[in-house]
Amino acid sequence: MNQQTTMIISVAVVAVVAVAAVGFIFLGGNDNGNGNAPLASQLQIRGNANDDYTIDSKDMTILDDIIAGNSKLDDHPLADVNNDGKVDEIDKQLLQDLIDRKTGTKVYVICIDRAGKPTTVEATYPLRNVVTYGTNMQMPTLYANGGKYLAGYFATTYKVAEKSIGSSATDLGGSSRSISDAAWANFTKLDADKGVGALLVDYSGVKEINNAREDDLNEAKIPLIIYASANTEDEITTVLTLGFLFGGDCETMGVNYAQESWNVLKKIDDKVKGLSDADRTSYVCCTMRIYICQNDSTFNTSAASAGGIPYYKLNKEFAEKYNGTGSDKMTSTEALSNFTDIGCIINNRSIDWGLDAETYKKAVVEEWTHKNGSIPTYKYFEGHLDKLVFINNLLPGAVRVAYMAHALYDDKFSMEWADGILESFIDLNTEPLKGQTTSTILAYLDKSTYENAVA
Amino acid sequence: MMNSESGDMTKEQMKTEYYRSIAKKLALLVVSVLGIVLFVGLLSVSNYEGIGLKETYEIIWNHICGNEYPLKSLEWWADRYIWNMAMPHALAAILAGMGLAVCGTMMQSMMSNPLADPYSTGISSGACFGAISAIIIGITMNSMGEEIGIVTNAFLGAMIPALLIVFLSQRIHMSPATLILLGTAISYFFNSMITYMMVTTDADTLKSAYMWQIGSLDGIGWSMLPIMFAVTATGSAVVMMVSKKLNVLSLGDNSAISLGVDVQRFRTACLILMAIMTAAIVSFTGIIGFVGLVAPHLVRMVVGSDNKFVAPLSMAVGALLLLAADYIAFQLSSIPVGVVMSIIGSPVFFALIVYQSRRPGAIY
Repeated sequence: MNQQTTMIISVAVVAVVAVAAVGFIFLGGNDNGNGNAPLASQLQIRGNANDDYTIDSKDMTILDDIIAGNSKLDDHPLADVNNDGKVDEIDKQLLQDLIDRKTGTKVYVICIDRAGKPTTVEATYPLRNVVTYGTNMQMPTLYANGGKYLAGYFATTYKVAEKSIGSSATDLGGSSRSISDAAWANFTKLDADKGVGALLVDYSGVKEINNAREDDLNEAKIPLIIYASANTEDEITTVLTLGFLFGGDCETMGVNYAQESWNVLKKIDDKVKGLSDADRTSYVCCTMRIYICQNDSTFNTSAASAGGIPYYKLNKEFAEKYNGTGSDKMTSTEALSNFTDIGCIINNRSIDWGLDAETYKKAVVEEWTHKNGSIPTYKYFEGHLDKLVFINNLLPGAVRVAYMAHALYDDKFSMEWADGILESFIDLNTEPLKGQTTSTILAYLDKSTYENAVA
Repeated sequence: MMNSESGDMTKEQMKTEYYRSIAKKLALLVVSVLGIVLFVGLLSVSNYEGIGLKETYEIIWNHICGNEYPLKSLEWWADRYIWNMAMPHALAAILAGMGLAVCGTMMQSMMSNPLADPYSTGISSGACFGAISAIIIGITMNSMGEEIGIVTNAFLGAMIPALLIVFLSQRIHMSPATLILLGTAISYFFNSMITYMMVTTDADTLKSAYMWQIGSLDGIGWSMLPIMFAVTATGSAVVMMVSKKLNVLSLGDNSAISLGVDVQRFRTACLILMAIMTAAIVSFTGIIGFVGLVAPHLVRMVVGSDNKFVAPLSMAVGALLLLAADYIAFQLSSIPVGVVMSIIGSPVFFALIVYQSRRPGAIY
């Protein structure tokens, strides 16, 4: 081999290694090959045998394997499409109809029951004429662009964020916290008039579906689909599943929304996964301005996705005081005074959007100085004001986590980066965010935002 | 109408007066029963357009006859609504109205005090304390679930003041005034505990606790009615049986003793009965005020003070009052019936006091 040949081979080897390295960087690792993070949400529909984010021919392959005895149902429980405990030709036919997205197909949705346990509910594909109850179910429905398929709703509180609810949808009465008997009567009347395709309920409001109401739904064969969507990862799954159930462009939106969300979560995870507990920023979550979220509340688990460490894990006194899954009202402005080493206080607030410069400022001042009885909110956080942030709870879960990541690690996640995440969701064309900008949404508020607003 | 010479009524006049008195009682009973039937229909007709009052009665009749409607039709839903929600709701209002009114009648006669009502001995505060400790702290004396836990706690809480008063009545002389003052003291104690629990809880729990305190018939189902029915029916029958003794007691303790009534023992028995009846009602409905206070007064205004008539007619009027309040609450959507009852009850009570103060010699 002469020197020239050796040179050519060496250059070729270097080139191959370089291309492979570049390929590894862009396509390898946890990446799925198109620059996106793996879409870790599992579509909660029976027939999704391979537990991925959609129903397609790969699922059929698994069904064939199970029928042929090459695979076990226990390893792929969702292969039992009609939930009758076995996989047979009926399941295959149902799955084929689902793969074809055939209208009128029976679809078996995995959700939770009134006791919070997993259950399977039969519905008809595509889902139409649904009724929603609870903000945490209504927003995912709208994020999946399902507003046009709403036949009714029990309450709307945020006129701009929820404006994509179809104009023909009926306001059934009730409130965000209760379904009165009169509101339920309106619901039954709606079913008699239009037929209700499903009742979608957020788990936090499940108490309003009592035994008598559940009997009504069973007798009228109206599917009751319950999801607990306050946690970010659960919210992504809910949007994905509802998108599939609505079908068409909603399915595409559900997948895009989930993909975008997982991209954000992965970016955050990549930057914080190396941190030891000692290096992580501790946080306390609040809700309704002056309510401290208890240790196992969903707000706390969402903030953990942003890389923080919940303060109760570091402070025994705090852990004992705030044990539970709900929230505790601060009974005095001294409630947090003993806990001086909290790293960050994340106050989760639902604030409608569509703000102009003036209303934006007013909203900032209102959040900071809102009178709780006679005491302004900020008074409850004296000594922690530099660590206090408000994050808009109506935003997509991943956007909230992005702002939380900024609040916890501003050196790793800039405000511009978090705003960019919001913009990327606006660009998704999900209905609630259409026409909005980072200036019309009060997404994130800290002391400097307040000081700028009052300056 | 008097004999001009002697001032006495003639036989004919007495007869006329007697028939008039009977007619008044009958009229009040008929009006109350018709009112109850009307409001049951109105509560059932609710928001279903195209199903008026007539159709509602038809649906009720068809259900009784076993006729069914096509699945998910308006009539099918109306039938379900009527029998699963409106009927238990209306029956609960009727039973609660009857029970509280008859307890009010008993209490006012027993105490010789027109301001007495079933809650005068602190029963409502005790029930509130029991229910709210179940809602807020989660302390229940029953392990069968949250709803039953609240009901059980409310019942047991209501019995605490009653038992305390019964216990004390064996040791000190218990005049009506003493009873009411003790009830007030007990109420203050329980109210302070309730206030403490409420100011230290979160918004959602606070709302649940507060809603219970106001009193509401929302969410009452068939399963809750048998206890209410059994206690109200038995208790009311007993009250009617002892109505003559209550008449005597309303004349005052000395008169009652001179007429052979063991005042202390009878009052204690009445207190226990009233406590059980009131507790059985409020543990399901929460504290609904004014029924027990206003209904007996309204009846006395029409038929006089004889408890033989006041007790059953108060039951009918109490049921009508609470049904009417419930209907208004339903129309106003999400307003608890306790609020409406107070809004109606306070001016009615005010008007009654003003009207009766103009009647010379009126006891109530």
